[in-house]
Amino acid sequence: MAALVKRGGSDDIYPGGPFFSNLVDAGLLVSLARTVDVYCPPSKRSRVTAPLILSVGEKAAEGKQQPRSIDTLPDECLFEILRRLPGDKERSNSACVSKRWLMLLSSICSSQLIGRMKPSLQSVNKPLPDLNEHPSVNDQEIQNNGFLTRRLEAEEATDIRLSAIALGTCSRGGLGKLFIQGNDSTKVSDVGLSAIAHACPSLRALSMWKVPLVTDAGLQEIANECPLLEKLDLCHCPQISDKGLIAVALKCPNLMTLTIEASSNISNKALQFVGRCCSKLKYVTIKDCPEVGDQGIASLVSSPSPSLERIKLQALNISDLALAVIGQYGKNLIDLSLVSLKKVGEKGFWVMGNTCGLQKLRSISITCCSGLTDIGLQAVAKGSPLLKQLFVRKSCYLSDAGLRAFAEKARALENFHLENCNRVTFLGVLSVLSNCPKLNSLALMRCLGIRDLPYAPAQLPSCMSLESLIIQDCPDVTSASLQMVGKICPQLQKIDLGGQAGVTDALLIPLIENSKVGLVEVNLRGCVNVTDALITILARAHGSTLKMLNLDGCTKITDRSLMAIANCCSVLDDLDLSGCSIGNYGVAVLASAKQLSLRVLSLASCSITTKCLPFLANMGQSVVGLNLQQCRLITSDAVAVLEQKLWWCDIIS
Amino acid sequence: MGKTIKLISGDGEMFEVEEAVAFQSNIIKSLADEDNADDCIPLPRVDSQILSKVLEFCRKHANSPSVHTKFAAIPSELCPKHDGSAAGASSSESSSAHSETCRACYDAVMKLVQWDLEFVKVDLDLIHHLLKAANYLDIEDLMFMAVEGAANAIRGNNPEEIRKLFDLENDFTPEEEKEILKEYSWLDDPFEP
Repeated sequence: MAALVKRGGSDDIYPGGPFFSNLVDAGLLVSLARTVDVYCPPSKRSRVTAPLILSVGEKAAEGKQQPRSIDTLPDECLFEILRRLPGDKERSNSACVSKRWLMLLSSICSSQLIGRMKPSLQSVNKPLPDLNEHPSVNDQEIQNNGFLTRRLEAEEATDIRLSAIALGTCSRGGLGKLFIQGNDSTKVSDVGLSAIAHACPSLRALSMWKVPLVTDAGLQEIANECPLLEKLDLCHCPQISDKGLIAVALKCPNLMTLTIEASSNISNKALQFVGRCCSKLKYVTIKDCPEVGDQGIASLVSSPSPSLERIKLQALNISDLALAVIGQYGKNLIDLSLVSLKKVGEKGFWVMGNTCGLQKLRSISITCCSGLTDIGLQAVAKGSPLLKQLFVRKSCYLSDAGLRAFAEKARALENFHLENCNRVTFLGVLSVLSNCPKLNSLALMRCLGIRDLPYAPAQLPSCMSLESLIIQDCPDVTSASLQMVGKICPQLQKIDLGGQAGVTDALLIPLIENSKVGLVEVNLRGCVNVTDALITILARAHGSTLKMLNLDGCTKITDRSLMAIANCCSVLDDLDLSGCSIGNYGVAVLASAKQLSLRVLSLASCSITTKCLPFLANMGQSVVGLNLQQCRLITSDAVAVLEQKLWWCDIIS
Repeated sequence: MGKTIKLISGDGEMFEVEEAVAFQSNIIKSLADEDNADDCIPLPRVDSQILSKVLEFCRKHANSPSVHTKFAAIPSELCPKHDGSAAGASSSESSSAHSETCRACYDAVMKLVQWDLEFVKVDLDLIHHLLKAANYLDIEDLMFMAVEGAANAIRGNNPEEIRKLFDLENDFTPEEEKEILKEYSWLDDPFEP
């Protein structure tokens, strides 16, 4: 009795509108204030799992007395009302009424919905209808198969949108994948995430990028309600810590892909749980997490059921020990990527390779690791006989000796890619070419040490397997070396010499002519010394196979080349003539070539005028991309007309 | 039975009702159970008009099986056919066996339900007050029916109509509304029945 009588507040049954008419900022979840003038008997509380959304303070502020307003009902009552609207149309109509209704609706689990009571007098022998039964649950489970995908970017990402998604996807096939890409001011919070968790049990992939307000509580809700989760990405979510990740590890046994980036609160402890509990984990990426160390990586890799296939570790405080464990236990590892590991030294790579545990490793990528030396690279080759791809970027210690030692062991190598390895010279490259019988693709970018050899080696190796050669921005590589390469590799199909301003016609021609199979892709971006003669020879020799030709910035190319291309190239797909000295005539010739079915054509920065546009308009159905940027002599009206004619084509101007 | 409870509404009116009726409200029941000399229970938050309606409901529901609990759990002593003749304190299995096959029990409950539905087919004002009273007094059956009444009012109306009915404000910004409607645009499919 005492409790009732002594209660403060007004005696009327309606406490006054302001409590609920001050509607909540969707991102805030506020606990039940003691001053709220509503009596909720404790026995009832357990029924409601909805978050009680009430406004703080501001009791009688705006004094809009609306005694009739259903808004004055406590959340509990409104929850019970909304539970009884199982139909989609009704729920969506109710969701559009107000924010409070939307949030409450989205917090109703599908199992809490109550279908309409339909007593039938015919069947007395049947069990009487149970008013608390949920007849439509089974149907809904069948329909919740996770077919739908939703992507929210920046301003779209709000709790309201998430609640709407949670409600809307429920019986339409269920939400399978959710990508939230926010920014520093994104207001997505645990409330929205809980709404998704409650309504989307079929969620398989969740990707959150920059959602500063989401905490462990939200992630725990997801872990509890979405046991089918397979993919989890957490990038720049500063409030998520070990607790949330451990919950996911414990409750989502199907987890296959885990990406954690820029998270200062995730440490080894969470990784230990992940390693222990997620037996299906295949792809892991951990980037920029200062609390993650050797122990965490070790427990990930050395889990009882080693299923890990791909690991990427970037900017972590791990040392040689972690690499040693990877080398020892990574039995099923196929792809390993190590980026910016400052504390790893030569020993780490040496141990990793020499334990010979990475037997299945097919691809390894080492970027900005100062610990990579010749010895380390050699050990890597030794430990992984099946290695097919090597990417090394920014290594200042790697030299020819290392390459040679590596190449001698890596007999299965197919793809070799070096960037910014300035101590490597052409001899090293030659040793790779000669020792790897299956080498398919060679790429050298920005390797300042690679220069033309002053003399030709006495015996040139022969590399019959090389199909793709990429040399970009290595300023000292000129045609002499390329000529040599051309002699060595007659099977070349793809040549990319972007940025090699030093190449000239006379010495490229042998390269072209030596290719017996037929060049498929030729990229001469920035090779300013290339002239029409070369293109003519190229078109004649390889017109039947050439699919991609990039002459971006080759200012010496004129209409003559276009004529050659129009005459000889039959399968050309992608042609980039940006910055070439071509004119209307050339474009007209190109466009009129009947056997040519270009898909992508770039004429950016060319001095063509409106006169050539009619020819372009007749280019046919095959053209899907046309770049007319920086063509100053073409008016935008003319482009608009062209856009109408080629309505299927994506025209940039 | 003789024992009555006195209830005083918020505006001072006194109602005297039988225990069985008043004890439909768990709150009143627990208050009455407390050891005190005063046999008048004040209900300051409920005014007389609402209280009389509530008591009307409770009178009907006294000595009837509660509609919101499982039908299967109707104790046999409440069955109109077997009034008092069944063995007392029956276990849940026997009572479930009883009510599953007892047409009389089923009919009685259905009748009550029909009455209830009529009872709540009133204007929303009243439903609203009844809801709050039911919540306050913790009367499960009334709560159940008032909620059902409110849900009925919502069904079949579009958002604007619902807002008018319940005097609610649309607090979505136009952008937010657009976002939400994106999710539900499929419902306007003309082929949808």
